[in-house]
Amino acid sequence: MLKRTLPLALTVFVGFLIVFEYFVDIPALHSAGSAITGWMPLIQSFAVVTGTINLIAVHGHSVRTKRQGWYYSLVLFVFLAATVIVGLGQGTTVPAYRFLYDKILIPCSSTMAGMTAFFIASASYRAFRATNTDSALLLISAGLVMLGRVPIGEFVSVKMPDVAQWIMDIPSMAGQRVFLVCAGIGYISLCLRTIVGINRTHLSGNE
Amino acid sequence: MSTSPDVWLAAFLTLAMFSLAIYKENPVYRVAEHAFIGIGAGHAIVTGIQSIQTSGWNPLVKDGEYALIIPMILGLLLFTKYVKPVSHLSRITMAIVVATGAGLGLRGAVQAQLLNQISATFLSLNSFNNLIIVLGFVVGTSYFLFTKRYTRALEGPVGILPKLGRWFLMIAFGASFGNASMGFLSMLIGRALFLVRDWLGISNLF
Repeated sequence: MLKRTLPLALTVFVGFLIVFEYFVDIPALHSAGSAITGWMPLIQSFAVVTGTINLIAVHGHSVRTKRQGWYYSLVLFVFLAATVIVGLGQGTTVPAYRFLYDKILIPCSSTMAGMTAFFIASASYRAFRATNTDSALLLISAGLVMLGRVPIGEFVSVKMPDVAQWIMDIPSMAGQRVFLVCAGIGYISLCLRTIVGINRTHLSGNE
Repeated sequence: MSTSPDVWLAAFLTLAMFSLAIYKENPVYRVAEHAFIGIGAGHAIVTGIQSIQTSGWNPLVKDGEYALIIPMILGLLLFTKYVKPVSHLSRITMAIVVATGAGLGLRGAVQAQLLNQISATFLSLNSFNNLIIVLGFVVGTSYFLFTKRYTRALEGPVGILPKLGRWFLMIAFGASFGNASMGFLSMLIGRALFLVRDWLGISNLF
């Protein structure tokens, strides 16, 4: 009962409550719905901590069993411990914490994001081959938008930025709306399946 | 060239990260990567605990907002997943979080992803651009008619509609790809400029 039925009943009850409080004008429903919605950031904070505990468990296992490259996990623990000790002990505005955040975390994260450009270039080399009409349209559309977004595009033609903007605003927007509507229908059906208890993947595991 | 140790450290980390794309996975990259993950995870713990303190514990204990005991207990129940005999208790929290997300998603998607998009496509056909948007939307949607009956209905002369729809989707894919590529490329240029200007001190190159 406690393992499956109660969580399932809670899913159905809370799901319907959140939906009904939006469409039905009953003050008690509104206050219950907004109270539950207001709890979410707090529960998310707990979830973030549990997520990090998972990370520690995975790397702890790696160190304990001396798996290949286990010493990298030690590096992770050193920096994790330093950040937690400084952050919880002295706060997030002290120079030591700002150093970890501004001088290590930010450069690494922006370089990681920038490196995606390399992988995108590699992906486009494989994907952009005009073998049929579909792939030719993909190639032309991407090429024109890219050209329109860089200064060299204006050397090719002064109209290039306008062409890129037109593609983004008109034919691409029509396609984007199709994605939004069709994905929206899929998303609504997924939410409905969850609320009525057909989709129960969130209740699996931890047996 | 910069004399600041901070800039040198950031430059070293930038080059360490780039070494993955230029060469392959190597020890320098992996040390930088694990330092990054360690600080990122540490930052998540710190902000998570601070958030629990400021929006949960302090209002509960200092301001007497006793209703907050419920989300605090629900949050603590998440930790039961590490204790085998009572690990199923974490499902109670998961059930409430997922149901709230599904409920909010359902009512939000109906408005934002269906009604708003469809109403925004009801344009007067008095310009070429409006015509393209309406046509693209109609034929694009026809591509996603998967039922047998409709597929049969779209055979023959109207069978061109899903094909045209696919072309619009390809244009949208391509444009999104191009746009995203340029976004990532500008980040890459930002890091390259940091190396050239801030670290090497070459300011008159561009």
